[in-house]
Amino acid sequence: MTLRSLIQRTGVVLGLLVLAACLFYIGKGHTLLLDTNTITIDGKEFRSLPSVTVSVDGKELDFPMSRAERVMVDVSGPEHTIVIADEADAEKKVEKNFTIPTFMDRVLVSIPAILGSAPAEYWIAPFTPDPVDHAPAEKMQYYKE
Amino acid sequence: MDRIKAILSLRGIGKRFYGNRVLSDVSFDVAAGQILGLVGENGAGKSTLMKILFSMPEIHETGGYEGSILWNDREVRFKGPSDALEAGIGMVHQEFSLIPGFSTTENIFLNRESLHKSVMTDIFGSRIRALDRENMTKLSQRAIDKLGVPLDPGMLVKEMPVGHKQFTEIVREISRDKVKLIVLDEPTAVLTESEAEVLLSSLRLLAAEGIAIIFISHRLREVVELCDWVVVLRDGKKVEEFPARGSSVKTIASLMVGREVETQEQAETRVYAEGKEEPPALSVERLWVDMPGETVRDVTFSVKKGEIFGIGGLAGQGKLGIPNGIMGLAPAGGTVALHGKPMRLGSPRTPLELGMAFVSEDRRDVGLLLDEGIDWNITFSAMQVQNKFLKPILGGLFQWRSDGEMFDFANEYIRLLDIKCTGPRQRVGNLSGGNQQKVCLAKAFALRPDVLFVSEPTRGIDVGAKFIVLETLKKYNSEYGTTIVIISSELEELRSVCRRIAVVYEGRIEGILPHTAPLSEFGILMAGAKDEGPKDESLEENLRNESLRNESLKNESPAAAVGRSER
Amino acid sequence: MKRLRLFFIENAVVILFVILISIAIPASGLPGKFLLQEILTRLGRSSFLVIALLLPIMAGMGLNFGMVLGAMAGQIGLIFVMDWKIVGIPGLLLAMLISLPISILLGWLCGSIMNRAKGREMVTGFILGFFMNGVYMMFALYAMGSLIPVMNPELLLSRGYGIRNVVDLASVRQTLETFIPLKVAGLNIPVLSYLFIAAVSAFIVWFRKTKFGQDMRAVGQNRAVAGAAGIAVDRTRIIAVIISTVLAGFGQIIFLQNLGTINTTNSHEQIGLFSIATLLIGGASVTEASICNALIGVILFHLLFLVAPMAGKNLIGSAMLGEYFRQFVSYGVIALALVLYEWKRVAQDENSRARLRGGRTDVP
Repeated sequence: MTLRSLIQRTGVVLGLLVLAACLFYIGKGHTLLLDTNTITIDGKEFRSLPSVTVSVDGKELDFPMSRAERVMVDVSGPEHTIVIADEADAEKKVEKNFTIPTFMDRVLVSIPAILGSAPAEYWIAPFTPDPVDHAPAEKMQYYKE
Repeated sequence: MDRIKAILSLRGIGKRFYGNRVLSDVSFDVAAGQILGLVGENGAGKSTLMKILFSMPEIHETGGYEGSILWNDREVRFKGPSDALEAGIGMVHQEFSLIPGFSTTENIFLNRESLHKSVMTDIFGSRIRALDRENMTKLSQRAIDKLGVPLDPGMLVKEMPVGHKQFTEIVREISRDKVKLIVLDEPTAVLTESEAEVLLSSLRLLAAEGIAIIFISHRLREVVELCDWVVVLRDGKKVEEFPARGSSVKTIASLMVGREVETQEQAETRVYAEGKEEPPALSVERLWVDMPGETVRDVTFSVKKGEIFGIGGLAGQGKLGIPNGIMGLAPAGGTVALHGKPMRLGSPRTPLELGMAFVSEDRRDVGLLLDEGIDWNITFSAMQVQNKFLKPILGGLFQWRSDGEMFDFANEYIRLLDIKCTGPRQRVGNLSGGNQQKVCLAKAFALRPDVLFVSEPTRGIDVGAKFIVLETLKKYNSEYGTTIVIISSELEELRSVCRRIAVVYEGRIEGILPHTAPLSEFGILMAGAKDEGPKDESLEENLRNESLRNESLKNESPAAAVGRSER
Repeated sequence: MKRLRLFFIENAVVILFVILISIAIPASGLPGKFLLQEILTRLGRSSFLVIALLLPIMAGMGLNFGMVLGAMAGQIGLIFVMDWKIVGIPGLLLAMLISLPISILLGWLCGSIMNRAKGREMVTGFILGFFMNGVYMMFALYAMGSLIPVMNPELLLSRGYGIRNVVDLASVRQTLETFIPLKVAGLNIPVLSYLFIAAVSAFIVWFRKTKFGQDMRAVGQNRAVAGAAGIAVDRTRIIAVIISTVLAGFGQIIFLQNLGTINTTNSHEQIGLFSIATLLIGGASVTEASICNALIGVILFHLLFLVAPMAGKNLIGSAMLGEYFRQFVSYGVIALALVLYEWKRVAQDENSRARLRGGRTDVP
C-alpha cells in the first residue's frame, strides 16, 4: 500500500464518518410538546391567548390551541420555524426561528413565552416526565409484552 | 546443420522420482528460429523434460533436477513457471487452459488485459480499472495475424471447433512480447488434416521470425515435414539427434521403440492358439467409448474363439477404453457380439452374466475390495453373478454365504498363483502390488469365463510375478479354451503371449499385426504413421504366411529349426 | 423444432410460472389495478435484495444463502437509527452507513469460509446463516441495552435489555416511496426506490466491465484456468461475497422501511430463501443470472404470492391450500433449479466428450 493510497483510503473512511455525523445531525428527530399552559419566568407570568393557530415548519396544526393544552409534533433536524397566530385576528402573529440542541429528545415549547417575547432559553426546555408510581406501571408493561 | 548460437541449451539433464530414474544425461541445443522435434514413447521422458524446462512445481517438490539449463548462454535456475514465462519461454500444453465462456481475445489476454486509467485505483486497487476492449481486440488481431491462422477474435471458446481452441492457446503464447521459445506438446493431436496444415505453416512463419520451437508429437510424418532437427528419447535417455531432412518415419519409429533382438529360442518355442474359424468369440464393430483420457472413437475387430488377442498402443490413445466400454464401466456404443449374438452395452452385469470377465487396469479402485480378505475378493464376482458359494436355506428362501467353501477355494488359488500372504483371510489392501494382481486374476478365473479381458496385467509388478501371471493366462487358454484379450502398453509382453496384436491410435485400430511383425512396424502404427512407410502387407497375407510357417514348424527337424534365420 | 424444444428447456421455470399465474389471476378474481399497484410497490421493495445475489453467481459461488448476514447487518443499522431517533432519508442513509462495516466484516468471514468449502458454497452459506443468526440474537437480545448503551428505552424489552420483538419504523416508514411523489394513472410510483434499483443495476453493469468483473467471470467459469493465469482466485471470490453482503444489507433496509416494522427475530430469516427463489423463478440458474432475471422474478413471484390464496379459495374452497401451494411452488422451484443445474452440467460434460470421439452418441 503506497503512501498515496493510504492517504486516500483514510480520507474516504474519514469522509464516511463525517457523513455519518452530518446525517445524525440533520436527521435527528425531536418531539415538540407545544404547551399553552401559563408559565412563570422570573416571577413574571405569561399567558396564552384564548385560541391560537400554530404552524410548525409551515405545517399547521389540525385544531387551534386553547389555554392549558399540550400538543405533540414530530420534527427532524436542528432548525425550525414556529408561527403562532391569534385565531380571532389572523394578522396578529408571531414568527420565530429556533434551534433545537441535537441531543434534546423531547422539547417543551411554551407558547405563552413566545407570545410574550421572552428570551429563547425560556421557551425551549427539555421535557422530563413527572415521576410516576412505578409499581402499577411495571405490571402494565409486563402485560404489554 | 551449422550450429548458430543456441538460445537454449540442455546439459546433462537428469531426474529421479522417489528413486525411480526417469531421465538421465539428456543434452541438446535449440537455436533461435529453429524447429526441433522431440519424439519418444510415453514414459520416454519428454513430458518430464519439458516440466523441468518450465520449472513446474512438481519438479521442485520432488527434489529438483540434475544438470543445467542455459538460456541465452547463461545458466538459469527458474523458480517457477512465471520465471520461465518472464524469460521468454512459452508452453502450450495438451489440456487446454481456456475459459469456455470467454472470447478468443479475452482468453489470449487472460489476466493480462489492457486497462483504462481510473481515479479510484489508489483506493480500491488496480483491479477497479475498466477493460480497454478496443485495444485488446487490436492486439489480439495482431497476434492472430502473426500466426496466420483463421481465428475470430470475438468468438466464444466454447463455440469453437477444437482446432481453433488449439490455435487460441498458441496465439496466447506468442502474444507475449518477450517470447523467444515455444514448446508445443502434441499440438496436432486434436486437429483435422486441414487445421494441422494451417498450424504447421504458421509454425514455419513463427520460426522464420526468429522464435525457436520445440515440437513434441507422435505424428512422425509431421515431425519429418516440419522440423529442422529431431531428438529421439527412449527410456529417459537421448538416443539420437539428427537433421530432419533426409530422415524417414520408419527410422524414427524404430529408434523410438528400440531394436530388440529376438532370440531364436523365444521365437520357436511359442505355440500360439490357432483359434477356430466358427463365429468369432467376440466381434466388435464401430465401438465408441466415453472414457476420459482413453477415448475410443471407432474400433472394429474380432477375436476368434480360443485365441489370445493383444491390444496395444501408446497411453491415452484409447486401448484401455475398449475393455472398459465393452464391460460396461464407461458409456459406450456400437455393436458388440458374443459368439454371433449381439450384446447390450452399458451395464456391467450383462457381460458378466454372459460369461465375460475383466481384470481391470485399476486394481485398487475397480478390481479389489481393499478392506476385505483374499477369500472375499476372489469369490465375490462369482457369488454375485453365478450364485456360487451360496447355500440355499429354507428351500431357497434365503441364500447363505458358504464361508468354508470360499476359504478352500481361495486357498487353492493362493497355491496355484503363488500368492504371498498370511492366509486367505488377509486383508487384500496389505498385499503387494503383484500379489494384488494375482488376486484380481483369481477373481476373474473363479468365474470360469468364456472371454477374459485383462488390462495391463503386469503393470507395476515384479519379474517373478509377471512370469506367473502370463503363464497362468496361457494355461487357462490352453486348458479351458478361454478366449483372452490382453490390453497392454508393453509390446514385448504382448508379443510373447498373443498371436495377433491390434494397435490403437487416436481411438481407432490402426492395424492388426502378427506377433512376429518387426518392432518398427509396431512403432509406426503406434505413431500413427502407417501411411508413410512402405505399404504393409494386408492382414490376410500375414496370416497366410503365418499359418504356412506354423505348418512348416511342425514338420521341421530340430536341426533345420536351429539353422533357420530369424527375421 | 429442436430449437423450440431447446427454448422450452432453457426457460422451463419462467414458462411454468407464467402458465400458473395466468390461471391463477382470473381464478382469484382480484382487480387488475390492485395487482398492478402491488407489483409496482413490491418491485421497489424487493428488487435490491435479489440483485445483491448476482455477483457471487458470476464468481461461480452459486446462490448466496449467506446474504442473510447482510440482512442482519442492515437490521442492526436500522435498530441503531431507531434508537437514536434519526428520521427520514438521513435515517435510512445512516442505517446503510452503519451496516457497511458490519457487512464488510461478515462478508469477509462468509467468503473466507466458503473458500474452504469450494464446490459446496451454497450449503455452507446456508448453515453459516443459521450460525450468524445466533450471533445476531446475542447482539440483539442480550448486548443491546446492557453492553451497548441504548438512548431510547422504549426499544427495549421489559427486562431492561434486549430489543423488543417488534420495532416500529414509524419515523422512516415509506420514506423512499413518498420522497419523490409520482402518480401515474392513479398508481403510486416509488420513484426513489426505483432510483436506488437503477443505481445498483448501473453499478453491476459497470463492475462487470472492470478487471474485477472480468476476473470474477473467469474464476466463475474455471477456477483452475484462472488460477493458472495468475488471478488471485480466493481473494476475488471473497470480494464478490463482500459486495453481495453489503448490497444485501442495503436491500434489507429498503425492504423494511417499506414494510414499516422490523420483526427483530424473524425479518431476516426467510429473506435468503425468498430472494433466491425469486431470482430462480426469473429464469436464472446457479451459474448464470442477470438483472432481467431479478426483475422478472420479482414480478412473477409476487404475483403468485398475491393471487394464490384467493385463487385457492375460489378453485378449491380453501385459501390455506392456495397458500400452501404458493409455499410449495416457491421452494420447489429452488429444488428444480438445482436439479436442472446438475443435469445440464452432466449433459454438457458428456456432450464435450462426445465431440472428442467424433460426435457419435448412438447409444444402443
